[in-house]
Amino acid sequence: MKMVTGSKMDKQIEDADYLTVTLDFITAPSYHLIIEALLVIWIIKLLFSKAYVQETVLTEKEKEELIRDWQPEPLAPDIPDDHPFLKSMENSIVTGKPDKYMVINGKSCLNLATLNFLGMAGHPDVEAESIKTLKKYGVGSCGPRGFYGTMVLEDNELMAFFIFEDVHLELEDKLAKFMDCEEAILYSYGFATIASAIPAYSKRTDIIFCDECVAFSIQKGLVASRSQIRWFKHNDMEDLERLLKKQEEDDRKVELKWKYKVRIFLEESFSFGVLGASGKGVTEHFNIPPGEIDLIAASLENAIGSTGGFCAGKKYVIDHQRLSGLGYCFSASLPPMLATAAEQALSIIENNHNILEDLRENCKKVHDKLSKINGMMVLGESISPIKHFRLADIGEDRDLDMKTLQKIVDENGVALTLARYLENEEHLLPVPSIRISVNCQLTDKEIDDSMKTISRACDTVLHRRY
Amino acid sequence: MSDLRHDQQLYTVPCIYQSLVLVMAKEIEANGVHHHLTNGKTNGFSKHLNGHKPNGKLTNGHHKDKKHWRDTFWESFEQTPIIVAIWTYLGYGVLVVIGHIRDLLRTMGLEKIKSITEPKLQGFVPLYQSWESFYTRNLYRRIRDCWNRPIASCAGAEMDVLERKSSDHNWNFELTGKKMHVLNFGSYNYLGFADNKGPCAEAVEKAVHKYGNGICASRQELGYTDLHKELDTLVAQYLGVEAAITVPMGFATNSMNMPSLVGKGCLILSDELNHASLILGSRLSGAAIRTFKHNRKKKIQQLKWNVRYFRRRCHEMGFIIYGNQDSPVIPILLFMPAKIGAFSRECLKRGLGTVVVGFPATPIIESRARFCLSAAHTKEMLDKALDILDEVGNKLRLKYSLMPIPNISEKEIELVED
Repeated sequence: MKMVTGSKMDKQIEDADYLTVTLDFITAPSYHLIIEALLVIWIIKLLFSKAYVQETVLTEKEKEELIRDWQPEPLAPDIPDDHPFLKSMENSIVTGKPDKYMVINGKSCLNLATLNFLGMAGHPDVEAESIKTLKKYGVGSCGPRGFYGTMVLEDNELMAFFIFEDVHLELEDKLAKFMDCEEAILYSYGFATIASAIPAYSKRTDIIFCDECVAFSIQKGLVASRSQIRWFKHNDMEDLERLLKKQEEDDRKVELKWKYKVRIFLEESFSFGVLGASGKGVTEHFNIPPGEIDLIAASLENAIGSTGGFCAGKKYVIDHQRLSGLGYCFSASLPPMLATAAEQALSIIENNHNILEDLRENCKKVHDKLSKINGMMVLGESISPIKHFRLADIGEDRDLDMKTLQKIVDENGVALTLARYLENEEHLLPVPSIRISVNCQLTDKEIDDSMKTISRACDTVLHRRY
Repeated sequence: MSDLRHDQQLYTVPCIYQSLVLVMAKEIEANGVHHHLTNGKTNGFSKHLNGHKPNGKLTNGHHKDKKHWRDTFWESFEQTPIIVAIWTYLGYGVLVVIGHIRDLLRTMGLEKIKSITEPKLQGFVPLYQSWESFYTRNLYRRIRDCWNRPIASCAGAEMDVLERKSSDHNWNFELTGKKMHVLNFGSYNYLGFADNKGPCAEAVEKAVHKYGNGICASRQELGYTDLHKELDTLVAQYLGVEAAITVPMGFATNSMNMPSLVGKGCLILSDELNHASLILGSRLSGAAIRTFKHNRKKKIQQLKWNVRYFRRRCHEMGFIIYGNQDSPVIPILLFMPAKIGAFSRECLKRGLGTVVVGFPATPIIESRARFCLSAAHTKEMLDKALDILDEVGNKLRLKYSLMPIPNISEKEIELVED
């Protein structure tokens, strides 16, 4: 079917040679003509709309002026060598394991700083297993999972039955089972886990509703997704509902259909291996079936004491990341020995729920003791193993508060640290605090003694301050 | 507060660091001489096990008496022959048409759906785009066996790949229990340091006993050990720079630290072939990004006998290969979608483990195989691999090159001495 316009048609009717064309035109179905007409209109519209694109044209002189006036900024700001962050870092170099006691600058002290809640980072069984893997597979994996970075540990005795004990696959399996999810995907780095997972699903046209106090890795994932972000107040479900309702209103305006139809992504780096009777995290703690959550992400660098992270959920959700998760596809897989270490730590938790109970008990005790210290306050839930211990009265000067807290830290015989943030980059910068981490192996006496020391340090410093 | 954007969020792994410390220390000890002693295996030119001589001029890392890099700079990105391009597009066209027909059959219920698809939830926007799952379902699935092959050994110069079988056209795999001992041209183990024996592995074992497996804190929050400090210093010394910072994940190094140097109001000029981590880093920085055609700004890298030998032989055989003459990653262009799977399978069958990549990791027309050369490969291994490559190349008609054989090595480095 050829395209014929109306004006030409008249001539063609006069011309007998074009009889066939005319017949074609008459017998053509009407939708065909309509589509073609629309196409012509569209092309015309495109041609004309182009003419309206405006460009700012600079004269040569203006260009030269702009170039002359331009002052390049320094690549990095000048940071003095005695910057308090650097100083405190250089002054507290750790040797050895981040165990219950750790050696800082050659001095052994009780560790209330690193996030080794369950003592997995220095656990002898975990070490033994990871060294076994080291001896078989070597140091690194040297390639992403897709390219020979998936290691399978074969046991000679089991070979007869063709049973293989996987390293990466086994850990993914085990994590999925542990979390009661269909599938889990393993990343080689905790920070990259959620930062890769978010942009795998959420694109430019999507909207993300996000708690305003989320971790920095989540904030980076949000930026990478280029989605629109709506921030709701920390842990405030009413505020979230308000935003959702507002969105519903807006959506009605543009005649989109979805109401509250949102997906839930949960980041559990600090609750995985901590909350719940068996350590499954927030879902177990609140007795929510994990199937209700679309995606759970967590790092293996805290309670598990290894490296890497994972996402767990329905198979169709998780498998998508195997081709779309940037950190998964384009990074070498987790060194096999560290995968084994994580697996062993998980086994220990599974076989011994007492450590979780011990941890909760210790958390409550520490929380109770900290809340009694004058001039200070402790934030959050009592069962949380991370305690943000801050000044009761916050001054106007953040730097001064940081200095005061640093003094309390320095005054101590126990290993403590300030909570560190990228202060200019955080969406909502938390109040300065000492970040105390609780370990399940702490005895009552150790808690008592360390809390007394902290209390004394607070008294000394705060007294001096006023 | 100042703009101190350290790797605040970056955790660190002491045990793996120990192996890096050792590697760096060895390099520096050897006074800049790059002989990589890897567990008795040889890297090609420092030990004479391969039967070829070292190039006296270049064993010293400092290149004092060397000409300007531009004089020896050579790399190639041969144009796709037009006829090959047409066939390639046609190949994808056929695959897409058949895919749509099969999807239609699936929606009509005439073909069983074996993939895991998103359950349709009333009113929900789909979680990911349908084109992506169309691609996975209809194109990727056909050659899925070429990726994620589990291995049962260290990723050294040779490795044991576990045989997998699929009884339902690649939807699912089962291990047969058989192992294939193959040459490994797929891992980025360039210098053989990832081995399970030898100094690196020993150092790591010691470090695990001393430092444990994890550190459970960021550097600023008491996660900074003497080992980290040592490695930072050694890296700086090795590279001859003032300071260095080390990060536990390569991908995160680029993607997470770039925003600390560039931000809004900056312009990033990015090579069009840059790695995904750099692209992500540029995006996270919020800077304006302009891409430029690959190369013209790169320094010649460390000369590797293995690489030049392998590249030259590939050219002689008539493959189209991309990249710099000294790049240890050698892409061999396959173009057509059907050849991606065929190449990987035929090579594995003959005892050669390699990596193939296609769309969307490459432009749709530039599917390729990727050979990762390691210093742990001996000349015998290279020759065996090249023989296999020759055979498979003839079988699949992969020798597309229309270019004369470039003279990339004769002047610079002696080839084999028999």
